[in-house]
Amino acid sequence: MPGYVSQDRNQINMNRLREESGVQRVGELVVVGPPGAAKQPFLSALCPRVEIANQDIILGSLPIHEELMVYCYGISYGQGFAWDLVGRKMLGYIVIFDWFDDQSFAGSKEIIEFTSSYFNAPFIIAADIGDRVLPVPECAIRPHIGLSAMTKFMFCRSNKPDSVRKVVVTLLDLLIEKLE
Amino acid sequence: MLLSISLKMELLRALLTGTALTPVLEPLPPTDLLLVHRFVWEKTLEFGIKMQGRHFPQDEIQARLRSLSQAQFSRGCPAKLKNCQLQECYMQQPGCMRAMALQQIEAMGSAVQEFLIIQ
Amino acid sequence: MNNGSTKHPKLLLLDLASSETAQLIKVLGDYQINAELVSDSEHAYHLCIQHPPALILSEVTQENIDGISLFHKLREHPMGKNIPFILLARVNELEDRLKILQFDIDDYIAKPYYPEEVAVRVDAILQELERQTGGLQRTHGFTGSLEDMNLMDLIQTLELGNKSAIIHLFRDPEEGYVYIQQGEVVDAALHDLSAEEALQNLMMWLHGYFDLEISTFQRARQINRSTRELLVSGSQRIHAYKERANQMPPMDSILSRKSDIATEALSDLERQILALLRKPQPLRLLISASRNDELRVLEALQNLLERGVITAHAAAITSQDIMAQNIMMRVAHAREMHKDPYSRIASFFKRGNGEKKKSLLMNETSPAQQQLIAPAVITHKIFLQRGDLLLIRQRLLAQ
Repeated sequence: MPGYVSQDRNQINMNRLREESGVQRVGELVVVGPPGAAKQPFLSALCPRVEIANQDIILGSLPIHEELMVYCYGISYGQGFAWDLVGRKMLGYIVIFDWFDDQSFAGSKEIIEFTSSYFNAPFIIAADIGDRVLPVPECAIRPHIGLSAMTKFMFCRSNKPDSVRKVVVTLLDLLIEKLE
Repeated sequence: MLLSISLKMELLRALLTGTALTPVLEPLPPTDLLLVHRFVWEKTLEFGIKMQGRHFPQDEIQARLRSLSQAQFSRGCPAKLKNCQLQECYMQQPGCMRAMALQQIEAMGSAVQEFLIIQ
Repeated sequence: MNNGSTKHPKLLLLDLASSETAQLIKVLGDYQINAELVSDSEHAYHLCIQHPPALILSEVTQENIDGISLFHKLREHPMGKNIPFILLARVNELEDRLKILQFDIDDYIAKPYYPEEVAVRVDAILQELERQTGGLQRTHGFTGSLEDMNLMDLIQTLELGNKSAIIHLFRDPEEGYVYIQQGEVVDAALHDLSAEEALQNLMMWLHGYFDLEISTFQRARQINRSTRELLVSGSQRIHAYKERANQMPPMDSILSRKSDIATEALSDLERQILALLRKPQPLRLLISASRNDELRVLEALQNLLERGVITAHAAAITSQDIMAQNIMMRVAHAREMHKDPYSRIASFFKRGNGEKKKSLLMNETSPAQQQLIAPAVITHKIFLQRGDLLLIRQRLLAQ
């Protein structure tokens, strides 16, 4: 599929996706992180189908049932991406970074400063620890640490499906709360 | 006029890794310091309850902050007060208030390290 | 005894359906605790006997709910007697307070509550259950705010229940203790005051926190007056204190002394107060710093003010101070308005006007894109229904 870069092409491609898949309702999530953050493993652990649109944008699709589909965009911050379009209708987003990498953390802060200024969507800050030992006792950070009504912090293992799903479920819970 | 998420993240990461908070706090204006103090207090209490159980008393943290106030006073209070009140001295002695706030926030950071057994 | 699944413990919430309970159930879910809401005591009893939950959270009294009766009935049944029982109560009702302290419940949480705090405490109890072999080791006590329940209220309740307890009070940076044995106040400690002076001062603390622990202890009796007498004189003193405080400048006023004062005509207390006023300081701090009977200190201050020996003026205010005050007021107001501790801060974060615009794309931005960027905040709209979100959630959890 063509890369989802410009707003026009983005819209065209989204429509094409809907036509091809025949779904009626679509939800979109964005997984964003600094370069090097494990967006592709995260999406692969979450979505049965993942396509790399270009080196900077990954698209995953998660069918729920025949009338409901979730699309997940994995993007590296700083690359061309139609934030203005996606930002309006995304369910929420996940900022992922490598917990043990200071540069990755610094990059995530820049992302957070940008996204939280422009979008009032709920988001999860997911600190990826991969296969490494959890840096603090689990009970201290279970189930997550709240930073605001619409923002939670969690550790995750980007290559483990149940860990990745927990992150997305937490984001969905924020959304459901927002709707109430 | 409140703490940004990125600042909260910075504070949280410092708390969870046991690194010093002062480098993060030094550039902040006094108003932000008071909000940081509150945020760090809430997180310290949260970690205390999560790690040590439901009866974890606030005094576990307050005692450390009080001893800092007392130590400060033994070195001389510019306002010659008998008791240190962070918010009170914000107007009268902002420099002293800043120093006290930094110390107390670091003390809470140390408490978190103990609670989370961070080496 | 560990009731219910340890992996996803089940909690029975006995209360009326409301947004408050819905929020609590949701937050408990975050902690992997499945909460079932029941609004009828009889129904709750049968559920507990048939499928014992890991823990019960119960309102004291509402429509078809009688938490205390349920507690008694369960304690008499082999299937229910070991289920941890926590009461949710509005402590302003003396009767509720009495009930709480009379019975062997495991804990008590004051309403209104922060759902997050309830969840953390419930989770901690369930963790204790898992660790212990002989059932929950019950400790009795609770903490609270003196604004909700002051020392007089606590003493009165303990007296009626004939209980023994140690009450630890905090009014930063001060702290004091009151010792009560079988409903009688036997001792109190505050600074280096005598027991009765300490008690009298502590009774006038209308702001701060307390930590009450029901326990027996050995302590020589230092206060000989009956609790009834102490309560009567305490309420008179509080009344007198409030009346006098109303005639004084505000508590954050700055007091200062005149430079040349003839001290011969002053009382010892007045001289002591003047000695504390070598540099101007707030009225509130001066009262604490005097370490004396606060009502007497207030009387002495009023005399000194009336005679012009000391003066009071509003704290110097700069534009930064105004900003700081506004911020603190807004934080306090938001804290009052929102139960969720995290939404306190989010509640007054208004995006938009005056924000510095950033480029949405790191590099070149076309004019068309800039037009789209023009609104400082992109309005978030959710195009899925709540049911769709729940379906997605269910799908993810089922995998």
